[in-house]
Amino acid sequence: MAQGPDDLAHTETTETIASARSESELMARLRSGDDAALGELYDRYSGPAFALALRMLGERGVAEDVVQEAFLSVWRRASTFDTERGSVRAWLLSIVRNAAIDRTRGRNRQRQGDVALDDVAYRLAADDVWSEVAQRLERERVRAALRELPSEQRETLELAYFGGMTQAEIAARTGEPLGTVKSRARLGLRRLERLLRAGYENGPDGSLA
Amino acid sequence: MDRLPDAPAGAPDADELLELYALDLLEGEDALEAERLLARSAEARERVRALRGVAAMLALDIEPAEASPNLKGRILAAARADVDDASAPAAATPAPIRLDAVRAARAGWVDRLGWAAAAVLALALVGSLVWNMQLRDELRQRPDATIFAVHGSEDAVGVTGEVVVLGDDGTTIVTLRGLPQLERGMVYQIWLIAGETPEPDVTFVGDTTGLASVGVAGSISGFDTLAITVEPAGGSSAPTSPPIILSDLTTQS
Repeated sequence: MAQGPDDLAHTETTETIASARSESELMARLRSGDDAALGELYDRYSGPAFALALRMLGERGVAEDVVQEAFLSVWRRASTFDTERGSVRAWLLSIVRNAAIDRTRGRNRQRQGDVALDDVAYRLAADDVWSEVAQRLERERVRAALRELPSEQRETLELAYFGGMTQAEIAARTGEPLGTVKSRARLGLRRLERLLRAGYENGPDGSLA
Repeated sequence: MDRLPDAPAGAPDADELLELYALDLLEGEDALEAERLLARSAEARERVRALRGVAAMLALDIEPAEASPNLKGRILAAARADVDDASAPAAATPAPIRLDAVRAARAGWVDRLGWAAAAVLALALVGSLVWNMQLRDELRQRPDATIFAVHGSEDAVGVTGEVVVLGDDGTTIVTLRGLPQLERGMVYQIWLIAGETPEPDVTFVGDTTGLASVGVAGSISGFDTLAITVEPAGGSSAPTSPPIILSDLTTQS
């Protein structure tokens, strides 16, 4: 028997609650020093973590080092994580990204205080609303949204996100004035937000939810 | 969000600051200005959260990749080694792992006095401090902000700053200036201490000018001291060096 819209909504809500409870339980086990829980966390999130590190660093060995550093960081600091305030996935990926930026920039140019704010990523990064977006939208639809960005805006966002570059570094890299870099970054970010929000407000099939 | 109050002509407005900050594009004073805004505005923090979520969608465009099959085993082995280290008698008290002779000597405090007592002793070694009155006054304008002074030990004598607890959501931020540059592979780590038990909190590094604003992950409620040590990248589950920065959380500034 086919499910109606109400059934689907109920199923989705149930799955969301179950997922949140599962993550909360997993973190509780991590806090108690259960290394099997770390293994489960790895099984769940090592794919996106490694893919992000590899994209940023380009070398598998270095990317694996960063992923290892990130999972051990979660293991050592699980007691500081509050599942009420965000997702483990967002926290982990922020740690991966920061560690990768550290590798690319080296210690000659350390990141500023945002590093520390990123370190509590569930507070300032990857809002759960957008995690839901990621789950709802198919990858191809996200890619389609990204393709709608003008190439120069997308390039600027990618240099910032994957390259870990500052606005001055992007200006030097692209040869564009600093003001142009700022404008492209802001316009690109706002446009991407609009595109994704539109995708979120529409259903997975493109119809209005 | 509108222009920042008292912003000079030509200065970026709040929207611009937050958007560029969310992409980690800012550095120096611009980054500090954004962090001041984040410290005093829950709305700004929510905006940065959302924008960082948007930027994170770029990661969905990455080609899937799998790490080598032995990575999981390496990680689990390292985690188990952590547990073994923590339970070994030699690790019952923190031991210096990278410090020069002076720091190594000071680590002896920890052996003799215990971690909390070492923290108190380090507080007594506070050097001359140049308090950042401008920043402190700005934060003091928030009626719900509770502020505690930070003190650098002899290894961080030029460090100034404060611990700010915001009443709206309990967010705690440590703002520091004059941080010594770290050796490669090392980070600063915050510890919250009640009695003699240091609880690990976030790790961070400063920028090239020694500035850092740090969001404390845990609640400071129930803790009497906030300490900062130098630790290997990734942080430690127990301190491996003496504190070089401390804040007495029982006495407001």
